[in-house]
Amino acid sequence: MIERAIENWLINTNERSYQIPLCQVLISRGFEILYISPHGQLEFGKDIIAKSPSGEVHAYQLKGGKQTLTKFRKDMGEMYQLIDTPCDHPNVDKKKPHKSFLVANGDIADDVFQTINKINSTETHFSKLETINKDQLLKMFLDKKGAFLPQSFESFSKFLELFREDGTSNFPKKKFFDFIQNNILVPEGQNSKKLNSIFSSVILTNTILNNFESKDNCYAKFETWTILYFTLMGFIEKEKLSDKKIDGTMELIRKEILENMNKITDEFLKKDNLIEGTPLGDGDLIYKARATMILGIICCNKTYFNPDFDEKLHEKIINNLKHLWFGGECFFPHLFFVIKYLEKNNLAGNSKTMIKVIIKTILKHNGFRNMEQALPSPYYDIDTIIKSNYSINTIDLMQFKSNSFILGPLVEIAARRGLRGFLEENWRKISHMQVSKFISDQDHELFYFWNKKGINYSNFLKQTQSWKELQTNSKAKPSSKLLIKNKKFLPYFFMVYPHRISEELVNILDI
Amino acid sequence: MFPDFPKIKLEIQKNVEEHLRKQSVSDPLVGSVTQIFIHEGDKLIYHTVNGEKKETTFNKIQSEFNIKDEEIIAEGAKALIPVINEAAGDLQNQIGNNILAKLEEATKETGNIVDGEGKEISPDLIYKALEKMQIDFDEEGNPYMPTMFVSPKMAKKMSNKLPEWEKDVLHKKKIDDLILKKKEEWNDRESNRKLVD
Repeated sequence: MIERAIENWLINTNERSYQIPLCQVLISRGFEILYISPHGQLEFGKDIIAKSPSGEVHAYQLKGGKQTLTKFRKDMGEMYQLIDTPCDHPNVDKKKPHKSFLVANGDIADDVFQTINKINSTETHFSKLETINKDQLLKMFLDKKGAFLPQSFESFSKFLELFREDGTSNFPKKKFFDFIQNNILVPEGQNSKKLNSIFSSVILTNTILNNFESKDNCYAKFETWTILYFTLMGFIEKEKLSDKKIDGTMELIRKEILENMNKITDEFLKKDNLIEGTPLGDGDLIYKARATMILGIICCNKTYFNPDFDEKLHEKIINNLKHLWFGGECFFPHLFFVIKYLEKNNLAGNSKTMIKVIIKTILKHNGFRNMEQALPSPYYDIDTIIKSNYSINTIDLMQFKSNSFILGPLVEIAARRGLRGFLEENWRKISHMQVSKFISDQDHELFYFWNKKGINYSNFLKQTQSWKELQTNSKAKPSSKLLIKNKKFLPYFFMVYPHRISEELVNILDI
Repeated sequence: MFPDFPKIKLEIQKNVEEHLRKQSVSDPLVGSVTQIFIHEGDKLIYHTVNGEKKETTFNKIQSEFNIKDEEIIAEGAKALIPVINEAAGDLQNQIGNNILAKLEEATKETGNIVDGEGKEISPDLIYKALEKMQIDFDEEGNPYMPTMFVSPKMAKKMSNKLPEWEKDVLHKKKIDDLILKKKEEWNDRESNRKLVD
């Protein structure tokens, strides 16, 4: 059943949408992906450049829909670039001809085939043009997946539920994690089966995201690929899998995560304001929540991944700081990345003020005897918090009194910045709060979005605390091998998994 | 199958479940304890105010109820209210008993017990109980007086005797002095909550 759904998706999608699955198929065939065009912009007529296991270089130009002669003639300039321009990559011998492929997710008309044959036989070009049409493409996808696609109706129904999401809202993260973990990843049998299930998860995720892709909902795509990435990372750790093809797959997912972060940054630069969809019902908390999410992800991108300074972007970020909202502890990662961005751009004064405001807000709202409404723990996502604030589905806020998941890491953040006076002033209140975190049963399970087993840990910070000791602890070297190994990609993790917050995780991101 | 209305029924079901949850914590004792929803994991490790580490897993509580089809047909969700209330009462008793068992366990551990020796409740007994308790104060120095949980019969008896107890000047002075002492203890405790070199 899923095969039919994929076929239907493939026929109806655009060229950008099947770029990732095609890369995944190539990886699973032992290819090394050298280049993927960002934003669907062709680089000398090439969407994908890959090296085969035998060392041949293949270049692919992707097209959407049926390829008629009129269409083909219109795009001939791009096609000549594909076959005539050597692949510009440091790992490619530019003197050696590459293999060129015109790929379409529709039929390729006979007269197009004839024209291609004529070009190949009568004209002299750097490389010859080959074709991959809809049927061949589908065979490639299903060949790789058919054997390990979930066959039960229950799995199909779960797949369909995700596939039918309209693409405008946030992505149902927990539901997606459950689907991938319980229906796709195969923990038993030979390693080849496990590898295939990893490859399959990429193609299925891409299919599930079809509506999000067509709406260009980059935030939801960013979250979904991040969950897939860390779920796979947990699975790979658990199964102790090691394979070049897995490395290729993980790199492919990381590229997709980063691509979505970049697209959000570009969109932010282009738009006058952050209203999205119908303005009726927008504004106020919805606008603030969106602004916090967008600024958080952009600041994360500009701090950890694309650190080049952009004056226009910087100005827009600063102008939008007034819209930031700390409506619950799940907002903290976004605010943390804004803090890091401000520090990186010599605005440490503003970032210190933000740190103090966040700590004071937690103490004021979550303090046991205080009358203010407590802020929900990071287990409550932004959608749930907005609904509760508008009395749509209210959360029992009393449960969060005297408790915080973010206070422990925040105290260390303040200590690392030498905010002794501020902490001294507030220590009495801080020491009355319980600080909580989740400790997974197995190390690799830290990367799972939800765990059946594990410890809900909470403790009070010391009543009499030595400043020196606090500073030492806040700068302690992390001990989690798993976190250290994945250090470079933890910013994604923190953004999408706020409920995994711990002193150690924040320490790694902060130092 | 006959036509069904699963989405509407699910909403009704959610309301019934919420009613059950609220009813099962409506008792003052159970309601006074903060409920925390645990989202994942199978264990709790926490530290008491005194820094003692405690580890616990979850206890299952359950209650059954039956309802006849005729009642459902005649009254719909309304028919559920009495049985749900009964089940909620049962759940409430189980939660209450769990809390009392935990309290007993904790007081046994700390020796924080006042033995009434079968005598009737009196100002002296209340004084002795207060003496053993830790009392916190607000920023203005007002005490957060502890809540006393007694049976309805005892509550009636106590409210009858309250005017008489309030006239007891000697007892009032003793309580006031005790509160002053508790305030000093609280000040000492609070002054330990600080950042030092």
